[in-house]
Amino acid sequence: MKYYPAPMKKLIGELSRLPGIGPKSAQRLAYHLFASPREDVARLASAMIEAKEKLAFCKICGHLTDEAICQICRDETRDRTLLCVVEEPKDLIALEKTREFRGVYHVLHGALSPLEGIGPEELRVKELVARVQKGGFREVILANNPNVEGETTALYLVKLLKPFNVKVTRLARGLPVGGDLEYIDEVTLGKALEGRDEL
Amino acid sequence: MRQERIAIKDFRNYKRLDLQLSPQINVFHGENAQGKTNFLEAVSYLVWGRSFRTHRDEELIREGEKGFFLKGEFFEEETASSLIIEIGYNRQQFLARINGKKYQKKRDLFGLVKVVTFSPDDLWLIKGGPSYRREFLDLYLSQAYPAYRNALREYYRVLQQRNKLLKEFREGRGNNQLLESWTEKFIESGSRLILYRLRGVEEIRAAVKEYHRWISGIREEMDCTYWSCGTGREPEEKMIAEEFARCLRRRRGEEIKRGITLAGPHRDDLILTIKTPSGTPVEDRGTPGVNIRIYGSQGQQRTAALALKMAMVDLIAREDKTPPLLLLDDVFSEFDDSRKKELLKLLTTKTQTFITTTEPETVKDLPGEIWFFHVKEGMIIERK
Repeated sequence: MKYYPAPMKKLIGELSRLPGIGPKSAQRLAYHLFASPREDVARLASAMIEAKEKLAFCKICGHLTDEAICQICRDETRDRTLLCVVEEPKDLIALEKTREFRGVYHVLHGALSPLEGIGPEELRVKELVARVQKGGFREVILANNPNVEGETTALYLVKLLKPFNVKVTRLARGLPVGGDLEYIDEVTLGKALEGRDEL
Repeated sequence: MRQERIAIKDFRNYKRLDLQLSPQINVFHGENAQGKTNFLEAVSYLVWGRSFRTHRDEELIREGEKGFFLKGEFFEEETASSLIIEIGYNRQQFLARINGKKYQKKRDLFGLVKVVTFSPDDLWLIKGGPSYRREFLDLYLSQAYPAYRNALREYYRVLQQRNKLLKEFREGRGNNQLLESWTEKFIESGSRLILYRLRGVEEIRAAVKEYHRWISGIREEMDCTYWSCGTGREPEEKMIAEEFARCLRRRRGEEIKRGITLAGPHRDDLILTIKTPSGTPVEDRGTPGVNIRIYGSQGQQRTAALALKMAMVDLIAREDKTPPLLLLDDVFSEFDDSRKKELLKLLTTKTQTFITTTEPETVKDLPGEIWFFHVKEGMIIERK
């Protein structure tokens, strides 16, 4: 790096701070940017600034939005008695892609993890409880990740939501569709066996 | 599964080595401190991602070098498939290639090839603290049951999380419902692990008794029972979670005071006892018989360790449909001649075996294809 002129050094330095970008990738990206037309680089820079300035979290559900309330929360056709709790906006997107869910969401922005210093205060748990307390939901679906932290977060939320007399469910764990049984890992297969249903 | 070839570079006292191996018995002989055991270590590292002697990878690098390299070629007759494992360890970086594909985690390696080791250190299995016996169960039951390994990993993750939370409680920052939730998850993961261990112990129990009787040649009965620190006895399958929960509730105050989890599979034990036909039965930790750890003679302890290991060989062979490779590190020097021969014969006919010894004559009559490798100063100076 020390062989580069200062502006290149600075660019590589900034790029390598991004997640998943090591020094080599940063160097390649920096060369690419340098070789690109000025307007391409300007477009990228302004897209970054714009995203940073215009995006915020929805005041209701915590999803990404460029307005105070996100598109889903504003959508009159969605079922407002059905609430799905997810860890991250990207989980919400994954559920949206199924087009199977027509309710509304609540994004926690993480999962409980004492080792990483994440407790309920670090997540949007208070907001969730307030939403459910207001009433109007017939079911809350907990779509936490099926790992230690996600499952414990779900156990915790169940405790908090219990007093409000609302049905709380969680996603089934099971087999991926289109998969071959023999290639599925033992844990998933074991859980699928545990959660089998009658035909 | 059997290993057909091994290549070693800068591992322990080996500079470079490339060996074709016998599908049945491989004997490494030579004076002490020449590198016989180091060879077995290399085999164990290839299949477990760790040595059976140490957890510290740095120790395995040849003096003056920065890393080591290992390559093993394996073949499985049942499926006629070959497996190539390559491991490079360099400047604290681990990289494995399995059939050419890169993996960075040791756990991707574990379980592809099963191995059971026999070494003089096995005595610690009997004499040592409970952690030796837990490690024994964890290492071998993980090889017998893939789900065990996952249950183990999940359990330790939850344990770490819960311990961190208990430390927060100790410092006065506590949220009871949060601790309840982590405890609930902890009980779920812990109960699953206890269940797997209970079933594993039940599976080896008969074989342990039988091997013990056979090796000792006398009418002593050895037994092994899983001991849960929560209840102070072997848990009942249906009651595991309930008993576990009750015991954690009882210790809640102390757990918060000390900031750690005080009950669970990470504190359990395997109790090994011997009942002599003449001796008066003694109650020990709720189990009839004499605890070998405390009252056994050196000979009884060695026999007990051997019986446990042999039972595990059978279990893995049964579950995996193919017997594990056996690494026998100078183990039979302490047994008398006739017993030693029978024992070796029994083990070596089961599967591919790697034996280290200072007395190659003692094994030359074993049935099967025996290849002898004379080890001197980290080199194979002669093979026949």
